[in-house]
Amino acid sequence: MTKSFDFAKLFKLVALAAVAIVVIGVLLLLILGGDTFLAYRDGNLGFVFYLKAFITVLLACGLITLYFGVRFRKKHGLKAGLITSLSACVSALTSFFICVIFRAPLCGYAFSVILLAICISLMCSVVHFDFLNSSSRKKSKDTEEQSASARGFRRLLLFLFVILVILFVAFIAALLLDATLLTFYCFPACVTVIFSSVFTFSACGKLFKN
Amino acid sequence: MKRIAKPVSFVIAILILAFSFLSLFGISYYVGDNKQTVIKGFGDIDWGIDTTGGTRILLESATDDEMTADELKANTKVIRNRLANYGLNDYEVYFLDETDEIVLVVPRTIDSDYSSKGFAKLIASKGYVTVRPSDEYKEMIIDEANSGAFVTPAGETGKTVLLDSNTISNASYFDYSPEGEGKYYYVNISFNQQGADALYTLTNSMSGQYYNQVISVWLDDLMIANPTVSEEMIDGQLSVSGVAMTESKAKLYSSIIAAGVLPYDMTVASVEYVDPVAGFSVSDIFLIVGIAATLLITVLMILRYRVFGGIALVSVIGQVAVLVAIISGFCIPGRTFLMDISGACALALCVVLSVISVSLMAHTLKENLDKGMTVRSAAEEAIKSSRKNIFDINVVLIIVALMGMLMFGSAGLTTAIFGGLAVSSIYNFCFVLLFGAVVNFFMGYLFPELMLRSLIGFKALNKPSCYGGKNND
Repeated sequence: MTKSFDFAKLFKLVALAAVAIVVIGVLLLLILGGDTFLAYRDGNLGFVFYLKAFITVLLACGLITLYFGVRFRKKHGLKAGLITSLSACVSALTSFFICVIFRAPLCGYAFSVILLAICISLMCSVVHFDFLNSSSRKKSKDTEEQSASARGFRRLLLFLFVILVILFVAFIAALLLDATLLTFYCFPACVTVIFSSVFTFSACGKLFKN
Repeated sequence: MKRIAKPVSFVIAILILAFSFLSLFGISYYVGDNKQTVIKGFGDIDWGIDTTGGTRILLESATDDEMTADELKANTKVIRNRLANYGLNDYEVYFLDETDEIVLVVPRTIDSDYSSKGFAKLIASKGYVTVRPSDEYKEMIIDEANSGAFVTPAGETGKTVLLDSNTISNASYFDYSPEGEGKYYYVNISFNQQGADALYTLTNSMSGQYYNQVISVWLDDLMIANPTVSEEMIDGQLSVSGVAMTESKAKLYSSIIAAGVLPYDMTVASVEYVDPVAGFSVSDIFLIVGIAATLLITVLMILRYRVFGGIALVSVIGQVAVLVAIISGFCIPGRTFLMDISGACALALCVVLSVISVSLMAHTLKENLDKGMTVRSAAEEAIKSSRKNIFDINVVLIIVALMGMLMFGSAGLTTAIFGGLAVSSIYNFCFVLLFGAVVNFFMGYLFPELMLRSLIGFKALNKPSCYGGKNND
């Protein structure tokens, strides 16, 4: 049997990358400011928007944790739910700062990139924990983890490839058809897709193991 | 393994493809120059501000005094609430502190009898409601819905105000269909206790001055109805209608009245059309991306999973077709859901979702075949194990989509708590995602499963190599 790639070992590296993205993003925001659309500036959407976003995240995380708690109750379901929620939140945060780093204007499309990151992170977590849930109890925890991440990633590889190609085609089409604004979001979205999936698989592996 | 009749796969494929044809291309015919749409297709979908442009209205202070940020914020909030009451998600309302202006942008394609300019002007109007005696007016004009409208109260009507916005607590609209007649649309105004008492005094059948008399209801300068009081109003509700009252007018008036009066006077400085921020060619881009993605998915799936390539193609086309039908409203009359780029992104994600679902099944089947299992047992195992995966993915995405829709939609649960603050990009993404996840139960799992079970019944397709397994036929 071929040895599976251990995503858990990547965790330190991707966590460091996430911190670096956030730090660079914050610095860029402070130094250069964000190219934020007027409607999304502080006085307009402001506090209520952030409050709503916070409550949405809180409620969604709560419900997802609860669902995982019930669904995977035999294998630390609540823990799996918390890790899933945490991964989705980190993915959302990094995707926002990836948009900042790529100097994409901060408007509704940036929210789409963030939502894309959340969805991909959630899909990866679900696939990972589903495989973990169905894996043999005879294996050691390490082997179980390693195998679940690797199997999940293999299955999602095709989908990741498809989504990257779609984004690339969209970039070329937007460039050729004069939809300049859209081109700003294609690369952040590509990076987000890759980062969210790798981060989620490694976080699920590492944190669950510990 | 549960056996399914051989023709089932073809029946499913033909039904899905036929539905997809209807949903994507629609059915319409022409009577003279008028297009009559029977079934709406992809081309009939209304696109939002970012792809078709909108109407931009600029409000400035009605006086020479500078307005503070708090005053601008208060007016912005009322306008947002009006849009939320109307159920519009795709809009922009913001104020410019530096120039003391409020900017309102609404889509060109708006579900109203008014044009987007007329709609924007009314939404940004003062919104002061008065109930006046009689129905004298200065001028009659033809409004944008091609019906007569009476403007500016005159004579006794202009001089006397019986009730005004200060006594109004809420407003809504409803329809009423007397037997054998068409529908009548009513604006229902609810008064607070003070207003209700005054209304009863005015319409009391014994002593009421206006019982059996004509009164008129005005929204700023526009008379919205002039009913004759035919019964006592004891519950503080005033329902008014008229021949020219259409559903969209009743909805618009009640939305404005319910949100209240603009606290600070502002006037319209300019009204103009604005170009879409994302350019005019977004639908072309999506067409190119859609075709490229479908081709890529089919080729990849056929190369990797052989027969499953066909199943994936049917599944993807079905997923897109059902979502387009939901967005366009298919055969339901009226405007479609207002799509924007975020919604289109979610549509692409939903396509990928159905690819994941089919490939989860296909990959497990391939792995099982490589282990040496027979096609039937490998397929049974693959169906069983992918069921959980697909179910979980869909449920989790539904949770996220519901939360997003509830919190960032205009008619959301939170509108009452936080006021109208819809963020169209989040709402549209979540709307499409929600339906995408629901449809994926069928297109990503049920139909591929039925097709797989049915195809295995064919002797020629009962070989591992047909599903990408090792060639040990």
